[in-house]
Amino acid sequence: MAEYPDEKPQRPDGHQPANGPDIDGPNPFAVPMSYQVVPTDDLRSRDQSVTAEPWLQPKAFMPLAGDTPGAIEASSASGKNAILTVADLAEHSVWDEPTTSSSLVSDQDPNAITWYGYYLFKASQTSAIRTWWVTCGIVLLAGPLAILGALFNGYSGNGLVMVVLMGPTVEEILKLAIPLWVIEKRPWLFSQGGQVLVCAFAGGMAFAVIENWVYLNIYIPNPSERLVVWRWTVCVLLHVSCSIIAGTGLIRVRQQMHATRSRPQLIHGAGWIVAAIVLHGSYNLAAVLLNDLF
Amino acid sequence: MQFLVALLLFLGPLIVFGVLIGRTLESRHFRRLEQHAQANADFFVTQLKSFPYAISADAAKSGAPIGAVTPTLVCTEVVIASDYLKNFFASWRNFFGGEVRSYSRMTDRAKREAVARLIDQAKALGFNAICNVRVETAEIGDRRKKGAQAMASCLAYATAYHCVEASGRGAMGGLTPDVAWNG
Amino acid sequence: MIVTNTETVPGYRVQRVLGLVQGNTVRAKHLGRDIAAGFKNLVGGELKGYTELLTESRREAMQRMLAQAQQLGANAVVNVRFSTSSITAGASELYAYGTAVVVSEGA
Repeated sequence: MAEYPDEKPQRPDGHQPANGPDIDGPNPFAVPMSYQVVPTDDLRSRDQSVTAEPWLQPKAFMPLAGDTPGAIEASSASGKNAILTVADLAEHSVWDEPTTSSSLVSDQDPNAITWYGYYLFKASQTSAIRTWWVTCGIVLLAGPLAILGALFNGYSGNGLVMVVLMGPTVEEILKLAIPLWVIEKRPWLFSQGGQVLVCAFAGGMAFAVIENWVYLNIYIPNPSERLVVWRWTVCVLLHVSCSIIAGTGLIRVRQQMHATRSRPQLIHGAGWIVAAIVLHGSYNLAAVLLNDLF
Repeated sequence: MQFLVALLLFLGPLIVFGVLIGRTLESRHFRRLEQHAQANADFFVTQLKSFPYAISADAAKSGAPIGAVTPTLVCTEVVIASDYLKNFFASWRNFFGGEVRSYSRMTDRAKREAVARLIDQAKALGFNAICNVRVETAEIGDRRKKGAQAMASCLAYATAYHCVEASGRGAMGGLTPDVAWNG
Repeated sequence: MIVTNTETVPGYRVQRVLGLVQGNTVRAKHLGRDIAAGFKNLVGGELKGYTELLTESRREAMQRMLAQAQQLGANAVVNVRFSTSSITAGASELYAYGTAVVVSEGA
């Protein structure tokens, strides 16, 4: 049985949280909140005994109200065994719950762990140079993704639905697949909206180049000069502008994240992405119809 | 045909043997639960939301270790597997209707074992009563899927606290885990 | 942290009710455990691997719930409830929820 000290919980680093539990006088029943990380095994072990339960652990790592993400990360940095990492806390933050009424709890501490607070913390930890490196990486990956897109188009036939609806949808999403994932899961890896546009531009370019190469060398062995010029101007322009339109949608997602101080929701950019797909699809439709006419 | 006979010769004894062992283990489990209930006859189990016959914190504090005085949550889980004979009986019952006794015995095992473990955990912490016992049927895997394993899994939880000795509990003190769980 | 599944705690007075706190998790055991569970069906009896799965899930969900209570500045969680559902074969979802409160000694 753990011996519980009589005084209020003290932490080794002497940090006093701004918004700690407000209880009058000492509370001998409160479990002391030691600033120590218990290895994961201690709580998720096969140990079925009652003393392994989290609420009976005197030393279980628990954040105090008012702890900054930085303080928590520093304290749990000692090992991958931390029970609750700051990312986990941010993911399940009570302050992002709709049920947490501000009238029930005291004024929210500005340092309280929320998803957006965690974003700001990670953003402050990520240097501008690093975000540009990430942008470079995404630009480089646009090529392989474009090849994947071309393979998909090559194997899925030439039906009208395929050309007008499925093809554009898959292409537009593949062009922005990596920026999409980054915005949703690691938004701090972009420091400004312009980087998203750079990625979108690269995605569009890569798709246009690969597609042109496939068309002008494989599908149409001896293209006329007019077709070559057409493909390298209008088609490239179409791919890039569709990609930029969809990219604007992603920037919109970012803006909404900042405006509502909540996690990014792709629905805010859905309109732009749909617009890009429609534009791409209508060009394809026009191309098919004109081909049939002439 | 030869293959089928060989399969039957191989699997038949295995299933019969397994079922016999399963039967023995099951009756042994029930005997153990019975013994557990008798050994803990004065352990007070209720599913009331209040704390019947609770000792006030002040009184309990003198003497008892501090951690053991504040009521606390205790939780246990048990998953009991079905066996092939049970599945066979169940499919039989499915055809004719009626209570699937072999399955109710299985769920009974899981629930009684879970509560027995709750008592053990509360005792390990120095408590002598639990109240507000709740038994939740836990689900592992997809029940809708055909051929899914039949099993009885349950999650039981309760609040452990200190209550007066059995002699001071009056008429209500007669409640034992046995009474509460002979379903 | 005082944790109970009753609405009150004897010997304590609820000073402030802070609100609902919750934690959930979906966990699965590795394939080996699932196969072992299949063999266990020959004789029946307890499936230790799945019992462990439930214990782990419950502890993780509780951990998350307790962290939320701590963030709110609570020193107790009362009226804790559990809820489970099956997601896919071999996996279970466990959801724990309760009310975070500040209690002080005295009836």
